[in-house]
Amino acid sequence: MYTFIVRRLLLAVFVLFCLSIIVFFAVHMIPGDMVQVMLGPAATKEAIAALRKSFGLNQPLYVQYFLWILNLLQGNLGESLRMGAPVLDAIISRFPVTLELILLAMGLALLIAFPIGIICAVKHNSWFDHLLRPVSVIGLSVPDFWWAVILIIVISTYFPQFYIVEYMGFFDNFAVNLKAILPAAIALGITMSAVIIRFVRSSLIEVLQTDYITTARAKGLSETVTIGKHALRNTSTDVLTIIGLQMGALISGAVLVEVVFGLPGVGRLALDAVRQRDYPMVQGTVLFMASFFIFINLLVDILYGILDPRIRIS
Amino acid sequence: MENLLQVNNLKKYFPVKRGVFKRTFGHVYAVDGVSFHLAKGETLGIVGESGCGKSTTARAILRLTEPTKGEIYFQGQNICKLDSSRMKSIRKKMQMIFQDPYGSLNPRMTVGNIIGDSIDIHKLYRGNRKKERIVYIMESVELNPDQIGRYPHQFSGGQRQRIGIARALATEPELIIGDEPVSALDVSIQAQIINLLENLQTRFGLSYIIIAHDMAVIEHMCDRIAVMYLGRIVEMADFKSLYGNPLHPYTQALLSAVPVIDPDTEGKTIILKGDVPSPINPPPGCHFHTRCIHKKEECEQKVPHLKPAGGDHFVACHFKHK
Amino acid sequence: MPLLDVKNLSVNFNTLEGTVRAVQGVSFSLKKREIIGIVGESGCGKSVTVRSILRLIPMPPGEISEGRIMFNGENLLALDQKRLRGIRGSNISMIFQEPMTSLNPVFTIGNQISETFKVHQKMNKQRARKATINILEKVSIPSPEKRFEEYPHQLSGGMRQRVMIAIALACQPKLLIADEPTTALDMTVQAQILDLMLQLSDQFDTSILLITHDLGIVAQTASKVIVMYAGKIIETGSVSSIFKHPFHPYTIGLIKSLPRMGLRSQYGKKPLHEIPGIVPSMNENISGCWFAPRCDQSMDICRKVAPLQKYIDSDHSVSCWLFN
Repeated sequence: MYTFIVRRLLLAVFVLFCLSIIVFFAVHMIPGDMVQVMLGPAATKEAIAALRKSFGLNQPLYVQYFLWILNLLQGNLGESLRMGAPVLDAIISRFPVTLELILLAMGLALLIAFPIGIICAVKHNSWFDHLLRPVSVIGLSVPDFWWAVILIIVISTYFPQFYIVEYMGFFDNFAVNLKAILPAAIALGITMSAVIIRFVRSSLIEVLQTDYITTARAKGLSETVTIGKHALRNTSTDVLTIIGLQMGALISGAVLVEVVFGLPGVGRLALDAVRQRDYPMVQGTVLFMASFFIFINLLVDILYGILDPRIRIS
Repeated sequence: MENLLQVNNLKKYFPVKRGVFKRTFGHVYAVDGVSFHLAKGETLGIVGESGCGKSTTARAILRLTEPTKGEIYFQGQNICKLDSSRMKSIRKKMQMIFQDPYGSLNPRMTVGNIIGDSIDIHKLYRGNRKKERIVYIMESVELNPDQIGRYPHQFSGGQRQRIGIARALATEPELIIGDEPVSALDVSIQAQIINLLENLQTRFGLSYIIIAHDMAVIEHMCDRIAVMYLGRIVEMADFKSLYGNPLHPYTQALLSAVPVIDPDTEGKTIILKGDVPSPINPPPGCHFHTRCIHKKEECEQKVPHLKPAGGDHFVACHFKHK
Repeated sequence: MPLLDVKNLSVNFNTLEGTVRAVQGVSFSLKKREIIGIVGESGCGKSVTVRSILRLIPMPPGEISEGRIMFNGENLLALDQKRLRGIRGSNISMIFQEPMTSLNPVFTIGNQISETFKVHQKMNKQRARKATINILEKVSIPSPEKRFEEYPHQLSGGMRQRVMIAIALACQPKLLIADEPTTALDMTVQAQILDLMLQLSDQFDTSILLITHDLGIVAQTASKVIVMYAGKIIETGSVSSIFKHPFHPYTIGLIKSLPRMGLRSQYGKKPLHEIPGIVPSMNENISGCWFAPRCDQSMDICRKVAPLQKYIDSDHSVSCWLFN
């Protein structure tokens, strides 16, 4: 188990390194020059050159990358070219919004998906199962930002008391915070739950056909214990891996949903930065979200190891 | 009689890797110094329980897995040193049939293509001659040639094993190694396949190595038998002396464990204690000493070697040499 | 009164390719402390028959279309789920073929055995633990305290099958159904497991219904044999009469087609007896005897009308027109 975790950690570090290269060079390939944008079309060549120099943009790319990495290792993501504030501070102040959104969406998705997935598996090929299949296809094929738009229309038209204009922090005003985040989380969670329903269903159907389930029934255990204990424990380890992988979809979904709902999260920060050619900010946000994704998957791997004794004790 | 195959001191170790950087931690001693020979037209049986190395031995002979050590002479030529193109021409003469015929047949290929493929790889026949050859082979294994265009899943288990045999025959081999060729089959089908294999042997002058765990099947099919335990041969003899006068305590236990079909024969089953130990760190000395009822101190320290015990009978036990 | 009395049991599986008639009108009974072997080739319905006793076949697609299964004077097929669960694992237990897959990989051995005690004998955690360690000792698992905490993957195949026996015999059931319990095991381990099963069932007064394809195992362990072919019982009798004087051409063929140890040394090599052809597909509709297409003694009537069970003597019956 120990070597398992160490190996995963080393792998995560390696992936992060590769990622930093990709992020850095991808950002610098965004067409358009930030300095040009900042100074406007009337700027003189000399002014542009001076500003480029002050930002260090006149140096070769690999030197810029090297300097960036060096700072990164010291926990310094650089300063935003637009806000003049450290990138890391901006991200840290915005991250709780995104985190809350993602966790809430995932929680909602699991809350919807598990009961439905279980019913579909236990009564598979029943009318409920047949009905749910096209429904989940719809859930899968409709993008989350569309749900977001629909939800905004529905809420503002029919439930104006839930419509809020100003976002407030979780600890500042819980009710307003929830009112702001919940619709966004629902929009994100619907698509996610469709994915997880299908996964819970197919995994549980497979588990229910195994010999050890027959053994459990032959022991005289009730269906509740057979499914609730013996089957679901095996299914949940399967579902855990899909949660890790779906985190990617959730993060990218969060960017769009935050914009639609006007939530001040990291996603919107990133999108604004791209629009303004704020290189350090783009690099910072993308790297941060990618690290978050890797961290979640590392957590999933470790949790998987803990839940599955075949990995824990080998 | 000329030896078709001679195996000298064959070893196959698999490294066991552990730790963050997967350093080699130890070895699985899958095959640990096995020697035997096979005469032309002879059938050699290899018996033993799971993990004894019988399948690895077979795979090493075909160099499907590279032997760690040892020599394999096929028709007088050491095949361990051959490069891949020359090995290919040798492999044509050594074919294998497997336990699970379904798993070893490509489900997307017709029977004709499966057999034809073997012919193509070794460029044996072309065009009409190839077609004739496929039909001839199908008839030899008692498959209806009209079914040449069918797929494996359209056949029953026994018929699939016939397809597996047909594929092996397609390259006109000298030696066929059967890895549990009948153990997945039902009793009535098993008899059909055993009879077929025997008929083909006389008809095409084949030599067989049959790997199995069923002692009755082995006795029926094999002229000589090697009993393996944890990577080593513990006893080797012709079928009459092995079944009539087993010398190694393990062979004795193995034979006594066969449930006899006659209800009046009150078999005195020797019930061995425990399981087969792991081949990763096999017990020192005689591998069998942990389960042997006749164990003495010497057995824990000294490795017994396969020594003649009269005639064609060999046994690796400190206390059974006459 | 027999302990178990199966009357006219029929089981169908409704599949897309049509109805598979897996078991067709099977009747037999088993006395207290008796060991009956059910033999037959794959697909003959032996496994479905015994799984139907505890209703452990998947329904749907499975369906018990007809029959009655009396156990201790109760019709198991008419019981509600709760009553049935009370019988499963306490009065009637099962052991399966694959020790590798019949234990749940994510729970400890101890957890999986003590469940039985908790459910049927309402034991608390400590008492169930004690009882579990006790039964682990009974099935000769060394250092049971340590094994209690271990997971199935840490045990060898033979050890896992011992755990399965421990689960099955935990409540000292009246009937043990063993479905190919040693098929997946090595020869020397098979001998251990059979020996253990017989010894414990003797100790607990448990009857055994042993399903196997190995005629040798039946000859050595059972007192009565049921031979099944294509979903039907074709011959039943005591072990000695079936193996010495089989009547049905299929039983005769089955016994003759088996290579036997010692025969070759004594009489030289002879080709094995073959039963030609293959087992019929169970969704066919055959009006006469299902074995007729492979039978070398079939008559006109065999292909038209199914033969009825006929008693040759008090404990030997056969379903074949040759004896009607």
